[in-house]
Amino acid sequence: VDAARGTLLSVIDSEHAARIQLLYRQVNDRIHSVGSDVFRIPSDEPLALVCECLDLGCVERIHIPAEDLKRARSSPAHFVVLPGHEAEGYETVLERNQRFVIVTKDEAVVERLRAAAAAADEDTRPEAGLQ
Amino acid sequence: MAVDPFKHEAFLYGGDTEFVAGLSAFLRDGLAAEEPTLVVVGAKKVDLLREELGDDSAGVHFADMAAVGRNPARIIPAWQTFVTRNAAPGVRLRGIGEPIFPGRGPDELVEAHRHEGLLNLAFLETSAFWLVCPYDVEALPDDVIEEARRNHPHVSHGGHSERNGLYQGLEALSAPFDAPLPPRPAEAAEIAFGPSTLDALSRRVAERATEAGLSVSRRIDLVVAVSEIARSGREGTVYLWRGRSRILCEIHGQGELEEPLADRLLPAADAHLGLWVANQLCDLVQVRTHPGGMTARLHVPLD
Repeated sequence: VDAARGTLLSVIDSEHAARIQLLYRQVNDRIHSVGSDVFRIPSDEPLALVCECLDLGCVERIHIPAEDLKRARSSPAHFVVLPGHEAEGYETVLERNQRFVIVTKDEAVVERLRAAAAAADEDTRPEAGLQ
Repeated sequence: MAVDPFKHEAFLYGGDTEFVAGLSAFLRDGLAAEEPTLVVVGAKKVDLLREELGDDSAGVHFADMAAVGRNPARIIPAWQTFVTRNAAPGVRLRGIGEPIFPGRGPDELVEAHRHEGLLNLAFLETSAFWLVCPYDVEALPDDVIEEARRNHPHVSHGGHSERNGLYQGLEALSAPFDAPLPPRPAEAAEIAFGPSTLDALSRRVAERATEAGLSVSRRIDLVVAVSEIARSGREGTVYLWRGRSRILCEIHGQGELEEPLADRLLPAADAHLGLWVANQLCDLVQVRTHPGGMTARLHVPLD
């Protein structure tokens, strides 16, 4: 955790932190599905995913093949971040290499948020026009 | 004890010497008071400030505006993260952000000005945060400086800071944003979509993006962004064409952006994600509300 990421992460509650990461995960799952279904990207070729870290201003990409992503998705509480972007106190590092780090969070919090997101599935949300 | 409100100040300077002199003093004051500070400016200016501060620069965090602010809609989330992580009772925060600099294209410039205005809304309820936005009056045209004056409640130049009588206020931000977009070319591909044709839309956008020469990862970004926005709009029309250095894709549909910050703040659990996703994946997203509905124009570079 570098100086920019601060040492005052405790001001973010764990639910908010997981919500941020679940949204990034949704983006990456769409990248994965479009990459494989529309563009037929082989599973050993890297996809340019968004970093699933807690920094809302993070604009860096993680280049990771679908087969590695599958391993990272073995639990809904696992997320993929760039090396150095993991947040101590919020997540535990499960795997680390030069390209990415797989972290895990409180599974109960993640499950609660996933259930809330599923209840408000995009297709059942009120029509609001382009949003 | 009274707490200072958010202070958003345009710092008008002429050339690098004034930039360094004015802002290094601002940074040293913050360091002396142990105030967490984030500087987001171009890489060359980061180097100038680091050199001037010497060892003290370790107490300041720097980021490159060319990366963080390539899409101006990504800058407010970056400041939000800085504030969230550092705010605490009795702690004052400082920031320097230069989202408007020579070299910004005309479309980017419009969105960067919009970003400057929206900062006043985004941090309206944030206290003890002083954000200074440098504007190089020697390098930027007069109309850009005039717009800067409309977007900042405070202005400083020549060592003096004052309240700015030209500031347009928050009311202007709540009106629908309808700044005209440059016209799309007549040869733009046109693709109508509805709830039952979203998969077909993705395939056609993918074909067009491939023909236009986008890299594979950029193609994926574009298809994801377009399909997410289209999914929320349910029906409408997509136009796609190739510009000089980028692919432009415009989605037309019903609705309006009721909350001016909705396309850049973290979406609520029951919110549509389309515009937020587009801002994560595209270099520029221009959202306009007009009597016929909404338009979102996405820019993806050919790199």
